[in-house]
Amino acid sequence: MLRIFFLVLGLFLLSPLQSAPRYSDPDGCMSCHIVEGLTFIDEHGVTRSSTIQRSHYYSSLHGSVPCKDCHRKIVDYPHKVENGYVDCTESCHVEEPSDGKPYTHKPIFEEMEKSVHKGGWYKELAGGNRLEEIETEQDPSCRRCHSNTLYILESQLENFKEAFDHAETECGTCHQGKAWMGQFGGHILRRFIGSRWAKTEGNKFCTDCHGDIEKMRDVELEDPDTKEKHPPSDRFIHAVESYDKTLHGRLLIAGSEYGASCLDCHAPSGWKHDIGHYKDKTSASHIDELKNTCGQSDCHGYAKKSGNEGFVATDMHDISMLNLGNLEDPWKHELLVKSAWFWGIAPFLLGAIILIVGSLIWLLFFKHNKKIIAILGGTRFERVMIGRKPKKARAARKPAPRKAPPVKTMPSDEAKKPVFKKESADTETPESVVKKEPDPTPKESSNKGKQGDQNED
Amino acid sequence: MRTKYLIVLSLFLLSGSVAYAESYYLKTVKSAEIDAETMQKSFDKVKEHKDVKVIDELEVPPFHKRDAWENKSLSLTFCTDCHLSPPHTKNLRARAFLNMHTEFIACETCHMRPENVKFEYQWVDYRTKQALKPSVNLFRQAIDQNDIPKRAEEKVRKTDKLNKIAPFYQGEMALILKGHEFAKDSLTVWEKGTTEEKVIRRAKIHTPLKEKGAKCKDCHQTKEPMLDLPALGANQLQTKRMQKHIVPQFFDRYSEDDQKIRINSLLK
Repeated sequence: MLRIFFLVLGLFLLSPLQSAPRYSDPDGCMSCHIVEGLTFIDEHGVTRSSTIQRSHYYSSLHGSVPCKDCHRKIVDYPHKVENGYVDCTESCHVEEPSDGKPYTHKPIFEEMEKSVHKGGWYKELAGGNRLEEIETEQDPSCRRCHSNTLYILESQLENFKEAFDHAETECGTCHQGKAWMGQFGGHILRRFIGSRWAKTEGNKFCTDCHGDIEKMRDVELEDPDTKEKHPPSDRFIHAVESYDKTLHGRLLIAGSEYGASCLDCHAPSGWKHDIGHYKDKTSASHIDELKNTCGQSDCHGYAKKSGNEGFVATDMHDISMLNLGNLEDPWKHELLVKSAWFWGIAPFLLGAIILIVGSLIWLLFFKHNKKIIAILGGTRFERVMIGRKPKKARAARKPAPRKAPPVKTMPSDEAKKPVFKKESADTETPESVVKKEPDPTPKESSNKGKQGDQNED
Repeated sequence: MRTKYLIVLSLFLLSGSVAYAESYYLKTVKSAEIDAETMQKSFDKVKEHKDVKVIDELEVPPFHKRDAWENKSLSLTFCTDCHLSPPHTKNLRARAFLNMHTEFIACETCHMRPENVKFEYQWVDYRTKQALKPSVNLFRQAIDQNDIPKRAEEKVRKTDKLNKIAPFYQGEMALILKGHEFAKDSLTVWEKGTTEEKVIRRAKIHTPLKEKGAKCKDCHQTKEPMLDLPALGANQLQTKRMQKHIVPQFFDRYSEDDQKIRINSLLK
């Protein structure tokens, strides 16, 4: 393990171009597989390559694992296909550093088997049956997500250099001696690097499949309670798009690490493979479990407190944020008749149709008739309420003479004219004073006023 | 004056005859007489033919990192008008190794070996169709002990993959490449011709060729190898590494096509 640690340091800190074998190839596989250009087209028409890039393999996660730890039954050449099958749940000769036992991925497989992805291939894996896997299995195999990647991705190299710059001093203060570094160095390194992956890199494991809408349409889902198979919903098909609309998704797209990744919510604990159905009560995305999922460390801690239950009801895959409707022919869309908006606006649509049709009929058949149909009162409003003659009548009226000579009228005629009350006696004309007749029944108020005036005098 | 004109005229005719000189392959094809047995075999092959849809990438990637298949010289070879690229698919034991050799060995070098004709072999640039001057730099093997590839994955030196060792006859390249009139005509026959035309054309095309190519040991040996590696430019170290390569020695131990040998035994 010491070799692993120093190899990685040597590889990426000192010179990324230098590389040395981490394992001595005890079975001699590299005698052939190192030859460049060993390509052929197999029986299924798939272009294959038997060349193993030596530096990549020795710098990869499995660089210290001899070929036969995985390809166990290969004993002769040409290899029998079945003899090369790999079972990811088997143990290998690499020891788990804390207990010294042979390392195995079995705990991860056991967690995977409890998840919605159970059923994916984990054994009998060979280069020649990848096409068969794609054609027969919808759940992901180990290799569909995990290839034999480098210990440190090139994209993470700068992070690694910066973060591990103190290893010789700070770590060495307590963890002295090559033995400790040899035993735990590579193990810690892997975990350390894994935790430093950007969330968008982690999300890519999920979005490579779930972001493919056409592929998701073909997925057959299973109800966790009834075990019935059913086609996927729009919510499932467009899960990645709807996630990208949330604040979580947008933060990650903007380069921030504060947004929650897919695994932060769907597999926050364990080996990160226990992704459950949202109806499954053990699932991190079950409604009863959301307060713990959202309220996990560094996230929304207040979600666990009573009174904040509504917070966890926030829809993180809200497809109403997406434009999924078929705008080409909305009247045939089945959602139209289910829409409250549609039924709310329907009476107004009906009224608008009647108005438009009625107007057309009027324009075509009644516009030239001089008779006005007084549907809304005709000229009555103008005549009675405003006291004005209709427009047509005003236009037909003869213009008034400029100055009419004053004509004395008889008292009997004057009585017929309307009497306008004047504000002040001073403004009254002599004619009006003359014409004014005394009130036969004097009012009390006027008398009182006069008396008061007299008293004051 | 007349002598000058005659000289110029003769030079012109000579240059024309060089430019339009037919390769050994083409001469053999055109003069070929097909017997009934060959015709029947050709008929069977045409009937058996099925187009193969090649899949280069799969949704499930290979677990170990691979080099992308890139052999541009094969796309210039007349053979890949019909054959797959890479062409060797059936021989489980050797197909990958044979395809590896297509990067620097012309198809005709292995598959055109007439008994009564001796070819010379030279490096050819498939772009210019011109012979190249022999050089150590044309080989993938290290030039000397200090010529260790800087990157570990570079087990071999990077060479121009459009240069190949090809047969020459009487100073002319003995093969034709894609784009030659005969190649174009053959492609038209294959696409638009009747079954009878296809059978005849197929039989003629393969007249100078052998289905079984040269054996590994024909070149990878020290005693009278088929290719004179030093004459092609290889130095002593390169020649030794090629002639005593461990893989041909493995393969030389197989006596039957479907034989399986234990790897432990091969390594001894």
